[in-house]
Amino acid sequence: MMTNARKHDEMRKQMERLYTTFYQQLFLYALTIVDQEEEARDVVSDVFSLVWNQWTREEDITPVNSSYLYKLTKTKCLDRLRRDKARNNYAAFLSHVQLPETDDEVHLYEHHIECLREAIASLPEPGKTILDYCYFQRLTYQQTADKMQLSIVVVRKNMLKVFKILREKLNKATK
Amino acid sequence: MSSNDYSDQMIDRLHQALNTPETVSDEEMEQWMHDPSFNDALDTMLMARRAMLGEQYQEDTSQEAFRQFMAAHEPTDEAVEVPIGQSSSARKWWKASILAIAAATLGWWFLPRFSTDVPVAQPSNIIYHQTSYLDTVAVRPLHDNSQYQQSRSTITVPQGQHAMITLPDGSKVWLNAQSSLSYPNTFEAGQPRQVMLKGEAYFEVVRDEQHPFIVDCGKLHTRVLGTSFNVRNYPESSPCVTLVSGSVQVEEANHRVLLKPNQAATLSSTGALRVDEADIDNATCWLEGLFRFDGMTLREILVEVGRWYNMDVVVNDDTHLDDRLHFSGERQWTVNEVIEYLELICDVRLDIKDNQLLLN
Repeated sequence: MMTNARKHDEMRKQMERLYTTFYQQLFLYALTIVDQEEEARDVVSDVFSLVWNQWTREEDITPVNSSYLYKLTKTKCLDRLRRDKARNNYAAFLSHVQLPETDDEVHLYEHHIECLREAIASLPEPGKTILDYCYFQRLTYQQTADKMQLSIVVVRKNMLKVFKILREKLNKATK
Repeated sequence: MSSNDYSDQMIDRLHQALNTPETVSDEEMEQWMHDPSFNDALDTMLMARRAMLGEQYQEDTSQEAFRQFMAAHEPTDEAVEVPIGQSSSARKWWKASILAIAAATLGWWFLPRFSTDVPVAQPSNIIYHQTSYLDTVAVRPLHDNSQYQQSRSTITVPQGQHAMITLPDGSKVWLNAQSSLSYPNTFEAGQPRQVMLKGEAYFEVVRDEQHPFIVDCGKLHTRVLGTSFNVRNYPESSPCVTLVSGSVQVEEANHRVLLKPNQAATLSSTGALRVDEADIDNATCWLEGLFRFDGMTLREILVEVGRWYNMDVVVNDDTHLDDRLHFSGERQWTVNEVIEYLELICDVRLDIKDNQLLLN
């Protein structure tokens, strides 16, 4: 059994490893759900605190699965959404989002994200900009149409087309 | 899975829903739950959003985040190393006080990251907040140097909250809602380590054969050397000690029993001390922000729910009060969600009026 000081050093080392390996992707994952940077960082920090506290209570510093971290992150994000009346509904259907269950699946998940990144980067116009406005900047179809001086019908058609392209890219990636 | 499976309409609505979730009606949500292509469509959209966020946040902030994390977690650990019962020199206490002050100050600075509104309790600066799963922050009380040798601290936790305390010997205590723990600011040499509990707490006691640890709940005393156990001593129910690991001796006026792990001792209203096999998960699930009632009566469940949500329970129809139910849920649920669930599993009507829970 380690002394307090040695255990603390070891915990520090392990925690640094976790941060270096997982912080950025967990933060982005949380951000996808809660949508606010400060809150996403809080959530991830809470998740790591939980791990830290578990290590403090136990004798051994047990290694942590990446899928466990994702699950904790998702749960905490949904907790926060539920507390907020305005976002409560959102939390309900987000709880159906699929989660990677094993470390391998986490790996695969991050790989899929990468594929999507490339796919989005190589989208033809006007689909690419429309996606950015509608989906990322959260403009309505009408607002996007006004901004780009297109008809709303064109905007909608493009969004559907883009969605199908991305879906196909994901299907290909999983084969 | 062909991408033609997604109706255009659904994609439209889903896209709108992700942008303005408040426009989604309950019926719509119901519909989507039953649509097999829903999950895939949602996944694609969220992953696309995630991919775009990756573009936006390319800079790796993990080092900075780690620094902040350690700043919040270092001082608490150092402050734990206070020996029991040794009459310490003035210099040692000064050092411990400074560390404690540093911990409290840093803890204060980091509060906004952990909670929305945080009351500060008297008499010493214990900080506690609404928990979701085990995210309590361990803090140490600030000690007034001059009174240190004499005084005791009492921590009181209101409804709907938890607190975690580290005692002078490093033992850890998690307090449930509506509980209070009184303990001396220093454990004297040659004396047992004695604390007084009202309500419910989970203990992880540091082993010290020279100084047995005693939890005094009025009628029930629990005596340990070093171990993990849960003590439940709320006014309306029988005091109960559940042992997770180690060994404890539970005594009341005329009896004493020695518990083994997974056993619980209960003091009944007739004064009899009974030992049973215990369900550890049931007894300690409150630590994880869960409700778990396995075969408990509706009466007991309503009391616990009322306590957590800060409501009085009014019984207008007592037909089902003694029904035994199996209920598990999250303490983060709203009281309405809990009521819905209860109504599903038991043939009762529950209403809320003027902050009271009415059983009809």
